[in-house]
Amino acid sequence: MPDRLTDRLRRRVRTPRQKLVAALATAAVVIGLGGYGIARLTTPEDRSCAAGVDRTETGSECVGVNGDGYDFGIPELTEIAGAIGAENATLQPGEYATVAVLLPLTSPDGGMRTKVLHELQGAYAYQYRANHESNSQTPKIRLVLANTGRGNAYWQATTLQLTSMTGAPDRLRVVSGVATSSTEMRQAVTALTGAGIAVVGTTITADDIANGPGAGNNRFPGLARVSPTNSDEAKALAHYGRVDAAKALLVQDTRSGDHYTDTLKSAFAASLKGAPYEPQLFTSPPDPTDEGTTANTFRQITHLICDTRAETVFFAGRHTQLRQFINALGSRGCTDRAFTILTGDEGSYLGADGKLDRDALRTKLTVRYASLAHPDAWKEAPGRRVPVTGGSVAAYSTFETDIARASKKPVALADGQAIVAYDAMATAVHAIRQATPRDAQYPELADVVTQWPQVKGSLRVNGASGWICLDNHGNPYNKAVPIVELAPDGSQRFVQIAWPEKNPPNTSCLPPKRG
Amino acid sequence: MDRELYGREAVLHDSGLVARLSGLTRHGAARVAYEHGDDPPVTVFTGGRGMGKTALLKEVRNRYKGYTPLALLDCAHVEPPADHGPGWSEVTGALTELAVQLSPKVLAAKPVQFPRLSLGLVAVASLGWSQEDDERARNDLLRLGPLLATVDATKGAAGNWVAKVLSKLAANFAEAAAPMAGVLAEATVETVLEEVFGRFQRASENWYGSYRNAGGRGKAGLRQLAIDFEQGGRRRREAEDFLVGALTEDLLHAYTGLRRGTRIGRPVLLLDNAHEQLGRQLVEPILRARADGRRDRVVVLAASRVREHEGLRHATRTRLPETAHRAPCPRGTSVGSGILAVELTPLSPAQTRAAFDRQDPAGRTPAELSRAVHRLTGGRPLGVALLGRAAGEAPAELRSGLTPGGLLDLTVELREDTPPVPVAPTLLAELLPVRRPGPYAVLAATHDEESARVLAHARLQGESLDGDVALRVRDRLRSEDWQEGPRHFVADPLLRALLLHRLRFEDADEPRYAAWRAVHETLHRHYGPEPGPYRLHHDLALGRTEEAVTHLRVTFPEQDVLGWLGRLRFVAAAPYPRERNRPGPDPRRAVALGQAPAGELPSGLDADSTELHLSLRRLLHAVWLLTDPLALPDDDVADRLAHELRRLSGRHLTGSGSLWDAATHWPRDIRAWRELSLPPGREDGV
Repeated sequence: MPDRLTDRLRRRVRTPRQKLVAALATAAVVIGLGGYGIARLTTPEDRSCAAGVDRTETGSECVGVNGDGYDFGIPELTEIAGAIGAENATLQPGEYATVAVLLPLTSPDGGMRTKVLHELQGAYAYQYRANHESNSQTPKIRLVLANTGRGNAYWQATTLQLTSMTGAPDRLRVVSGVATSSTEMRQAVTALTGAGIAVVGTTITADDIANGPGAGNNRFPGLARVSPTNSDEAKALAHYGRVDAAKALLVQDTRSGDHYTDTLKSAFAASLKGAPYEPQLFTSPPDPTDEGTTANTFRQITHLICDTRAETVFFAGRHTQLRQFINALGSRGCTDRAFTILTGDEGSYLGADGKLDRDALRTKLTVRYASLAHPDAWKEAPGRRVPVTGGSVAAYSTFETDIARASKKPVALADGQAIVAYDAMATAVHAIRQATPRDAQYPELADVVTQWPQVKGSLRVNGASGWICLDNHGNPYNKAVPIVELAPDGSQRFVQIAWPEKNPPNTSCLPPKRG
Repeated sequence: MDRELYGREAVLHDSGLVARLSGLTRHGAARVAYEHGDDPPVTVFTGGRGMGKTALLKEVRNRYKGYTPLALLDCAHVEPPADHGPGWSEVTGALTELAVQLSPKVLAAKPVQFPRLSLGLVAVASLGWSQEDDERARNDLLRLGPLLATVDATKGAAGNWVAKVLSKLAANFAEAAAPMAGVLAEATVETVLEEVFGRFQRASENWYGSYRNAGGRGKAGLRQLAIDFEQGGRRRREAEDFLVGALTEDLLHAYTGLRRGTRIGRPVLLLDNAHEQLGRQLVEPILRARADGRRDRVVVLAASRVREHEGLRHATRTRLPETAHRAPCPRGTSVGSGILAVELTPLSPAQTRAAFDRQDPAGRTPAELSRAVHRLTGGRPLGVALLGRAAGEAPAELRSGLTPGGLLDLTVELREDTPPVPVAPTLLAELLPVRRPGPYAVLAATHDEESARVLAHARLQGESLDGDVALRVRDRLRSEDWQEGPRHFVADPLLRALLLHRLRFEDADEPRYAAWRAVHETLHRHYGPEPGPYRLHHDLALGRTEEAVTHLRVTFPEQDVLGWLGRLRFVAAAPYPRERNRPGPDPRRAVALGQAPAGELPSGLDADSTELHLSLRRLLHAVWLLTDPLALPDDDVADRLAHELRRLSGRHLTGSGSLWDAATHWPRDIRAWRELSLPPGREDGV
């Protein structure tokens, strides 16, 4: 049989030319396959998703920094990432400084996704204004997306990447975003500020991602925040409620390490001095977005609450537990009694939470929380007086014009994320341009960091959520805190603006000397 | 299925001469190194009729056809087409035929194209066309169709171009009152170029620029070619030679240039009967071009019946078995040195035996038959093949008693679709294809020119009108390279046996055998009245032995014993007056063994003389039987021969030695299938 095979081959391949062609073809196939095999075996796996973005070892998400319009595999982000990429593409090298938005872009959590989208839309809205409608001020602003991955697990790599982008051509000057108050984020902020990069936090409210007076409290040199700290929020809530401590009760999470919860706890505890009841405790699972078994705990707490005379409940916990608590209260025994739940800005997530028992809100249960921003806060409305200072209607209407460019569809503003992100971006751009010498194209890195203490008085940023006057620690001074109420349909109804210092700042907006 | 050709391995074997010339083994299975480099000789196989030249060429064709371009042409039979114009000659006809045969696609290679040859033949074909006779022009053009189809298969075969050419010609006729041959040729060539040739093939026209007086312009060359062809004589030879060059040039182009490496081996031209004028005209231009240094890569295998052909004078001569491993052919200064003349050798006894075994695998014919046939035919392949076939087809009851003579009486079925033909006439027609073999049969009984002329004068009066028959026959036999011998006018034993067979049985007038008797009586009379050996020879041919025995008895006591033995041998070489289909053993056997009745004795013999007479009678019959090529020798008879000779040696007073030697050696000669040696024991067997 082999003989016949070779004979047939010999008959097919007879002439020198046929032999040459056959040899070349065979060689081509062998070299091609061999080369492909060798290349396949020797080249490392290509984990690149886009420029500057690599797939993680587990392969589920893409982590890194990109400003070319890559959407990190999240369909919701495609439009806004494309818009940012297009805006960046119009910039000439050398004429711009870069602002990074540091967010867990690939977080699978629905609430976080929405938040991320709105943050990006807000940031883009101000980038557009800065590049097109700010009297051709220099430098232009390039916006890049920095993904820390699910649960900020890859903050280290992303941070490292960001610190390497301070030179040409990127000239990263400010990192914005920093949307959650978690250990990873704190470490990320530490690393970034340690590298001399200015950071503007958007929705971080935790007190321990903040600088404070006194030695050893200036842990984040160059960090500025546009949201009030948890303590300020709590103070504003307290001022708003003028709460009778005797009729107030604190429900708090025992799990430590979550700075949002911890600051809220301590702020509430401070304002509830002399309360008759000891705080009711629950313990959330390590990942606070997990349902866990806390629903049972809340059912028991509900029983206890009915036994008290409390009318106001201060809730120091994350929104998943808050929702469970509201659901438990909705089926409480003492439905004849009215309760008001006061909590921090996590309440803003409830509106989009499908697991919330909306009927609970109709059983004499009012949920009010300190929002970071609200679209109705700085809008004229019948029967409501807009404060003269601490913010302006004009600034907000400018924002409304800008945010319309961020998406073809109307951007949902109720959660305030877009507004805050817009303000953070405005603050960042303000600092960059203030730091730019008259004869230079862009500021030095070190000059940006030192801008924050000067953002006050007439150099304040007139944000869409209110005036942003930073104290010497980069925290906003007496920032407007809109108190909102969760309506049964899930929307947030604006109630009133509260002030951490009880009253709106005066026109000068200069923080007083403390301590 | 390859035909079994015995004794031709030297040519056909996988490393044989053809393989080394063409570079391919049979069926193109493998490549073989070229023996002669880029200058292969024109190989001419020489051999007389029936030596297997045609069979050899056909076998080469069968083995290589379809694997390398190949054409087989019989130069003796190029049929002129009906009503051909002056533009046709044997050479152009042969070239068309060769090109059409060479063209077809072979394994792994495209068809060969013949654009140059086509142009030349088109130009030549246009000779002799006239305005009135466009039917001839049409026929001439259509005949070139197959050739033009090699240039472009669709356009050439479709024939549209014929109409185009004709209309163009009509226009041409209208313009010029008396168109010259050259002008016409040029116009025709132009039209064909436009209609049939592709863009790249048009350049082939330029090849004719090297023709005489062309000055590098192809059209001028073609015009001159046509003019020369029309002129005839030496000019036509020149034109025809150039056309042969066109054929080899087209063949060469299939192997060089862009097509280099697309073929293996070399193209093969097989020319049968190349000793004819046409063969010379085809081979000579090739040889001349090669002598001038051209390397055309064509393997030319020719067959020539004439061994001493004048074209082969400078050839390197060799014999077939010697070419098995190498066949050097050094190129000398002369043109003819490019020829390798290979003489085909007769079959050996072993090969004859193999051929017979193949026909009669069961071996029911006598064991000695093949050897006896070899003695009769001298190993001539045609004779061996036909007689072997006859033996194989012989009726079962005859098989055990077959002799070579018996085989000649049989019939043999050559093809399934024709009735069996008688062996002897068929074989004779093959070996001596003359219109009337009658005179040859008559003269076969004679011994030399003188006796032949006498016999012709006596018996062939009617034939002698245009010259002496005997000399005409002699020249014809010489021209076909039949050997000449001292004791017989027709020396070749097979041809002589066949002619005598015809003489005896042609008229079918048994038992009178008038022609046979008349011929032998005439010769008997011519050699008379003294009882010389020739006269006695014919006595035996007529069936009369007593006079010969008497003569031998009378001359036995003479001194010259060797002469006596020679006379005995010659007398006993007479043809035996056979009866057709006579069953049983040969009658001579009984006489030789002393088993036949004594018959009458000459009167007046004493007892001693009677004994000698009887002994000599037995001896004569024994020699007659044992040396008869148409009979099977017999061991008993051979033993008896030895016995008789030994006894005679005792009787002779002086020559007992020679007789004794004869008693020793002649049976050996018989058993070795040699002629009886004289003096006995001579090595060369004469």
